[in-house]
Amino acid sequence: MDVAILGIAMSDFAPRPELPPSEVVYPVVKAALADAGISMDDLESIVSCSQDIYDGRTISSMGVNEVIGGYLRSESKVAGDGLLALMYGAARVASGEYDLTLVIAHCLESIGNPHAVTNGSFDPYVQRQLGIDSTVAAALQASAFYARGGLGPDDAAEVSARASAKAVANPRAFRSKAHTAADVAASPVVCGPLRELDGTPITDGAVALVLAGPNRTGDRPVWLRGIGTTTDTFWTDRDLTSVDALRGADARASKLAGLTAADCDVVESASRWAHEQLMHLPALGLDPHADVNPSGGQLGGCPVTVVGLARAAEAALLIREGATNALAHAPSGIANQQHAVAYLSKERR
Amino acid sequence: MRGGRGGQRVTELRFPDEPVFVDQTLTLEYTYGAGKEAAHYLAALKEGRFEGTHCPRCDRAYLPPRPVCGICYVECDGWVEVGPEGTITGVTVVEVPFVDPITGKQREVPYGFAFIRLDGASTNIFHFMNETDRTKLGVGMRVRPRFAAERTGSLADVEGFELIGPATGGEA
Amino acid sequence: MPEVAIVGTGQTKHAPKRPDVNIPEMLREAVDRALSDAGVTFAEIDAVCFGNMDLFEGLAQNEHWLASTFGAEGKPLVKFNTGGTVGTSTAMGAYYFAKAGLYERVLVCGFQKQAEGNSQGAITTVGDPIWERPMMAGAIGNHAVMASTYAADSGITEEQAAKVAVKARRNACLNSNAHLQLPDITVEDVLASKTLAYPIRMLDMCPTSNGACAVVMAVDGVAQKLAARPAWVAAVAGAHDQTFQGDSPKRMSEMRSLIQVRKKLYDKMGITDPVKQFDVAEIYEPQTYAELAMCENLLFCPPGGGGAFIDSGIPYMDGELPVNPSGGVLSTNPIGATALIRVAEAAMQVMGRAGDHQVKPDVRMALATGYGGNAWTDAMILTSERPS
Repeated sequence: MDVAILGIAMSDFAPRPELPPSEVVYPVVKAALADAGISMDDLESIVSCSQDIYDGRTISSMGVNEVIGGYLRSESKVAGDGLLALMYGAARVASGEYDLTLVIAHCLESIGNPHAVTNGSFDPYVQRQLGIDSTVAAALQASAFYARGGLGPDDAAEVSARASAKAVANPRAFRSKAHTAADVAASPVVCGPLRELDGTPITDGAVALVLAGPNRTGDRPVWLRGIGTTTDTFWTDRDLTSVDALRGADARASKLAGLTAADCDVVESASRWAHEQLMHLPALGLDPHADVNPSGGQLGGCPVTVVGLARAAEAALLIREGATNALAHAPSGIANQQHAVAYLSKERR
Repeated sequence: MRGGRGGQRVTELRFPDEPVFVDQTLTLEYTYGAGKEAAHYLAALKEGRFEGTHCPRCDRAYLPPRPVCGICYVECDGWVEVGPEGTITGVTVVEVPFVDPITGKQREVPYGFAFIRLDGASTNIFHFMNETDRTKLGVGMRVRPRFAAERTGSLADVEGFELIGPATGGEA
Repeated sequence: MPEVAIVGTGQTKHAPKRPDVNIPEMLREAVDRALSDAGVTFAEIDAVCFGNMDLFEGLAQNEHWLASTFGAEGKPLVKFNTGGTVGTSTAMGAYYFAKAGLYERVLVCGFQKQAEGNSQGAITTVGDPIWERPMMAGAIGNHAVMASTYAADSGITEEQAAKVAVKARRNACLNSNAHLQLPDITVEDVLASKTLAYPIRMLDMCPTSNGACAVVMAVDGVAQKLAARPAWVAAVAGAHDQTFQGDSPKRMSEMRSLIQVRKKLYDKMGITDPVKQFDVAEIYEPQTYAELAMCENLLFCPPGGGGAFIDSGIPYMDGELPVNPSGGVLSTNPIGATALIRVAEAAMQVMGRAGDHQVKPDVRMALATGYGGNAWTDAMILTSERPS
């Protein structure tokens, strides 16, 4: 895959319910264009990423249409994690039909009721009536995972504590106070075995990347070497402790990239709940307590939908600062049914 | 990827004679941020004025207001007063019931509804017309706003528009 | 980067309601038919692109719930959700993925089961919550206002618009999948139908339908093994307008997004005389006036000439450029699938598989368009010859 990341911009991640989507998104698009050294006149192709149920608006891309340059340009909305939008943007460039593509993800987690919003994705015939939401599914997954033996809530607490320390050092992340594993264990139970500090705070934000083909890469490109995704069955049709979909996504991305996680000096792997990281890292061939997520990761505060693109953005920034290879990963769906993985590098394949 | 082991085999699937329906109500509540343009626009509206945001490159005046002119992709540089009178650019009398998204109640029919280009604006707003006889309404007619008796700085300060005269015959 | 073709299509029999199937079952009907038409199994599909307006059935992130319905377990899955254009956006997505060399065989599918949700309530949320919702008049109010602008610009008469309604529902009688099939419909029937919001009468408007559509795309080298006459994707374009409903000065007579798309496609394909050069067009016409306005914007006739165009006979099944031989959106509108149905119908024409509504044996170039959002446009040109 011969696609480069030319421009990178991220908003701060924090609840800002007073801002409409256009005001969250416009500064990020403006900054990404400036970072790429291009103007909107140079662009013809845009991939947006948002979820209608979070924005409370059907065709949620309409709210940001004009500020992302939609007028007379070819823009489509991917409704899913930002890494999937990145994959589509990369395909538009790799197809040869566009030299440049803007990928822009946004999400406003703070304006709706997260319980009702996540309840919406459960089976409407036999599951939603239970009042179930994504937290309950995550708790069931954590419970099943811990029951396998080996790793437990104390391990998750450590993951959370480490993430908070890194988040504090990252100006974009929401968490501004580090906490210890003991703090996690003492925090209120949200839905057993999940405790409040095992999770991710509610935030709003946006991330934009400008992608370029080999003719327009500028002088410090970050190469998107490979990207892939795999989907598992719906949560009640599978073993919740399975990470087959992550292995599948990694295999696809790795094959295109000619890289594996072991080759990466930076790993940005998203987990909404700390136990998920204990599941994800071994699937990537890493130790469950491997030192990853220099940004603080999703646990530091980053909204769903945006989170995968934010991982790629954080990884890309570190490559500009001297890292060689990076992996960006984000899951999506109830109990992480789908996974996407991207490999970035200073070096072109 | 599939879990579970087979249970007892069902050899004959029987469907009910009548289809089974599951009734559900999904209640979604949102608090939408109005943004900074809204504050200025509504303050002007409270004083009986319409203002739009201005593009310094193409000189367009936008209602509803917005931070960026999407045509030029340039930040709007300020506000321009427009109207209050305007011209109908599209019009109808609605006869089918429709649930008002704000009140949750059916709107009473018939009601007039139009695209209106306020004098000086580059875009159309849409609003209600107090005329319900469609033979009296037409593209090109001149209109003026009907403000609420008490204005509070919300869009409801404008109750609708009314005709002030026949069509201009000019560009719609 | 390989060329990409459509090698199979499938649709449900679109209907006012489908109490006999649940949502996964309904979608599966179209998927099974497309796979069968293409002669591929689930195992041979490399990736799935899926499009649907979840909120219309009160669902969210439903691509995950439906993963098994379209065989996405163990596979890449990307969901699109762009409004009325979702079907074409999804097909375009699959095209770019295949063209980029990521996948060789992609399943594209979409559906809408509008009888089972409050689609009007969901469509209402298309309006900006601050600026538009307090004054909205629903889709019909909007369409009526737009039609009035076009009528004022073009001088088109009610009778001419009614002819479009008649053409559509009679064409639908030759399409076994179409929802609204009215063999005896006349202009008088249309003019006598209930006025919803003048000038839009009941029979001027598209129905709300329940249905699904799927197509299989394959790359050069694979496509030729799967279909005797693949429908090659020769050109693709998309464009948006500005943000709010009233932003476009002449929203129908000069549909800015459609004009932009037309320029790109016609430039690429060297189209100077579309009536001659296209063999068939499946365009996304939400109402009768819109069909004629779109024909003007596509240069099927001169500006203001929409009325004369329908009077001329050119867009009829036996005319020089049949427009919507399938019956179009005016006959069938399950929103999440509607634009994909345009692509599927155009592909069926090129592949020679349109049965009773096949316009002629040798269809070489077909146009499919999508419309939605705030006057947004997508379009694809399909050809019988592989692009070089």
